[in-house]
Amino acid sequence: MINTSSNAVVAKAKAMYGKRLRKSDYQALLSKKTIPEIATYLKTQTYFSDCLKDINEGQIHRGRLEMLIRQDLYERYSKLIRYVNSDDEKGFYHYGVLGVEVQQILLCARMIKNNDNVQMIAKLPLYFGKNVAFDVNEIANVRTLADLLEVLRPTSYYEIVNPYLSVAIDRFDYTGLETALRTNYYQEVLKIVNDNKNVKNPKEINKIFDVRIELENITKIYRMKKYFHTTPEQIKEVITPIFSNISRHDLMKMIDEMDAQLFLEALSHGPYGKYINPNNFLFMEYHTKIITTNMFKRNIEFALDANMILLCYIELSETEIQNIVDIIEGVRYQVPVDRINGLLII
Amino acid sequence: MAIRKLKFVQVKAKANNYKEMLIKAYSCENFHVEFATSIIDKSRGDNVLKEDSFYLDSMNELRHLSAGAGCGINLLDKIEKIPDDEIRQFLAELSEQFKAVSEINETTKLEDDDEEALAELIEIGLEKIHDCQYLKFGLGRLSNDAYNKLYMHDTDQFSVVELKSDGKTHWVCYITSDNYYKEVKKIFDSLFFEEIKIPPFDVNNVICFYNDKINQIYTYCNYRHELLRLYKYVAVIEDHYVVSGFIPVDIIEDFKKIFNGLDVEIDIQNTTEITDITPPTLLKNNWFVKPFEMFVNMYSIPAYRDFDPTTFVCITYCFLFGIMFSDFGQGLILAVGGAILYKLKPKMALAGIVARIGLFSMVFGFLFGSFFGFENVFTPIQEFLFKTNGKLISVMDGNMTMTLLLISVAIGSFLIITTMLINLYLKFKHKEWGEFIFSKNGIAGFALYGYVIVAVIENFVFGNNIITLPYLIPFVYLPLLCFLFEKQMILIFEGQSLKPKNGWGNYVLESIFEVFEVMLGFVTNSMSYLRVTGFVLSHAGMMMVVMTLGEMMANASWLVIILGNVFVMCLEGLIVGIQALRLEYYEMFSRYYTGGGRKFKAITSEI
Repeated sequence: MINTSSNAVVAKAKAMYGKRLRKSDYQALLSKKTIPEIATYLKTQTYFSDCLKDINEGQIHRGRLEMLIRQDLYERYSKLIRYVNSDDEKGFYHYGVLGVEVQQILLCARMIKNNDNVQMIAKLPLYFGKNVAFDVNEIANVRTLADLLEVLRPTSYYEIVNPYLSVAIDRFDYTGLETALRTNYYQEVLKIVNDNKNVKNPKEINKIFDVRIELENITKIYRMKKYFHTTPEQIKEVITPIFSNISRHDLMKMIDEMDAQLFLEALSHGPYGKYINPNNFLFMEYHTKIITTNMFKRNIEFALDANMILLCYIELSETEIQNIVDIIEGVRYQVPVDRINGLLII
Repeated sequence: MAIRKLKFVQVKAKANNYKEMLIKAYSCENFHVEFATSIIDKSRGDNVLKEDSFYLDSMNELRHLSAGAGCGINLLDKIEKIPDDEIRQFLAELSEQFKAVSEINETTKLEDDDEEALAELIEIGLEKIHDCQYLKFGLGRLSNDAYNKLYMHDTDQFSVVELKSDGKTHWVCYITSDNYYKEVKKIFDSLFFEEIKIPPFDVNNVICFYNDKINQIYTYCNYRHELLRLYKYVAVIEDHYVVSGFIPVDIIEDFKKIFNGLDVEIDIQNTTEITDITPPTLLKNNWFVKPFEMFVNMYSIPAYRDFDPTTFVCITYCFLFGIMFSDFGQGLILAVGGAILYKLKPKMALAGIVARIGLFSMVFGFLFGSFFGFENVFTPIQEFLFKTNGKLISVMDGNMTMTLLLISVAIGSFLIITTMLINLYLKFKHKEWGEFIFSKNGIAGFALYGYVIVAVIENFVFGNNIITLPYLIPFVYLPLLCFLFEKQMILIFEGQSLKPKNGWGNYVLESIFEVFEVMLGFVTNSMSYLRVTGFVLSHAGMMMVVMTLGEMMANASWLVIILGNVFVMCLEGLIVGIQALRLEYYEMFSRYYTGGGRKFKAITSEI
């Protein structure tokens, strides 16, 4: 039987992807000198015109501009999942919500650690409303780790975070919490992918998540070696034990035997060598982002599975938003155009 | 039917009151003013009044200051006199006040919504807000999302007032104490608070305070600056400031009264005493004839001492147009439409002319029995009024055509003779005896053309042959001789030598051809009027086509008749209008009218 809702998601997502910003748009945005000019261009020349239609582009705050653009992605995501079968409550699309939940818990924990609830409230995605497992409004009232634990009590996160949050603030292990939550996130996502009968091609989606986890691990390893000179044992504790293009044996060997520079050189000779070159290196997140972006681009072009296309579209849109944010920040802080251009992932 | 008699006047003022004199002179609606350059004598040290730029500078400064402060300037209807010192003083004060306003406007660029929100604060008093020592205020915009998040913070540290909301954006003002200000500002900054700087005082209040005075002074300066355009008419002769010009005789006393209370001298002279300035021409015609001044002016304005042909043009043009465009219904539309348009736009003389010629079209349309192409509508009335058997004039009747052609030639001959008589009168009046006697439009021409007309009538109507030598000698041979020697005879009357410049041989040869041309001219000019009958027939023919087409279209006959009438009215109305004007200019004006006058231009039309 043909799944009409899947076909609708494929058609809709591909149509939305067709409206993405092109190289010429980025060039036009890079030529702008002020935030109002950028806002005007986005409002008049791009598909963001709908979400920006009510703004006063002449006086808009750059933070509000970013927020509206991010909120627009959530609106697009909501539009797409409307086509998914309503009985499929734990459908693959749920992976996006899981990601937001983890981000929000970590943000809240970070703010408690830094004693800065002002930024926490500012970054609350109120527009997610009741789609997340906990009450977003209650997060706003959180001031201590115990408060956060209390908010998470009715959720499946409680068991995971309890060991980390039931301590005094001076003994709070943020990295441990992050690793636990991320590992849980990936386990949950992979579970959905493998268990859900609507996911036609779980192998392909698994592969994508495996690569993402691997790239996150690579980033962590490089950063810990380069900036914190962390011991191999400590590094092994924080990485997620999922391996894709680099075998466990090879990665462990790299952790054990190499410093940051050697690690980089080893990567340049490995499966990601096409994208990581020590002579032309910016920062690890930039290069791993290029790898994932190319992966998503390839898949959105050729895949036929609705879940895969939804995943690729959302991830590519995230990259697009990050590009816009980079331009906005660059213009705001008067960074030379060629430097901003170098950061863009197109 | 006249040219108004004028007097030459010179108004002389002193240095202390020449501006007032100029203002008073400007208020006179019938004063034609002459350029100062035409009356000054440079060798005597006379000069033209130089312009000063005080009022223009003041206007520029007012505009500059007002634009900076966002204050609009309007010209008032009433002009009030303001001393120059007061203007200077006001500009200095305004400069001081508006400088502060401009600075505020530059730092706080407000949209309409922002203005509305600010208006709420203004009610409290902006000065009071800035006077607070321990309280801090913040005005600005918050998004819906940010506004909701605001209440997630500890609101004990600040108080928020929503001033305005459009559902997506909230304009709020927060109040906090000095101690919490840093913390509160951080909260608002985190929520992307788009701050609007609270101005130190209400800019609109200041603008409103000065607005009336600005408009008043600007209006006065504008008026005075406009007067500068009149400086070119002011001659500085010794220590006098003199304005010279022409004024109709009948309003001389009113003109003098204008300057009552002002220390000026007014010299009045007859136009005959002024030799170096040609007096302008001010036509005076009644309401019916007045629109036809347009046709006369289009050709050339009559000279001051000449003859105003407007009434003659009015009668002949209406008459000729009426015959050529003879349809009662179409004439009615022209008359009514023209009258309405002329009423709405009194300066549109052509509309007035259309209204008048429409009336004549109606008259001839009635006589020819034509009503929107229906040729028998008036037959019963004509039978009753004129006791005829059928139509009074049946244009399309083949027997009628020759009669109509002869009538049009007769009309032409009559008009040619009339214009010759007018010419004789004018030449006699101006004592141009050579032209009076020898020209083709003088006695000689009149005798020859008149004789030919009379001879034709005698021969064909009464059967008398007067083409005999006793008549031919005085009425043909003698006039031909006059034409032959016309140029030389005119020279004799002007007191010049009789001998032609290029010798008698050349002169006689040239003159023979000219005489031939004159003779040919008499014939062609008379034949030119045949077009009158031509258009009578053309109009009737076109309307017959329309009616035939209407009959063919059984279901839409009325539509065809209406469209046909519109088409004929537009096409033929235009052609006949032009042809009648052609007859006026080429067949009539060429015989008696020279024009060459100057238009009387009232000083009030200068600004």
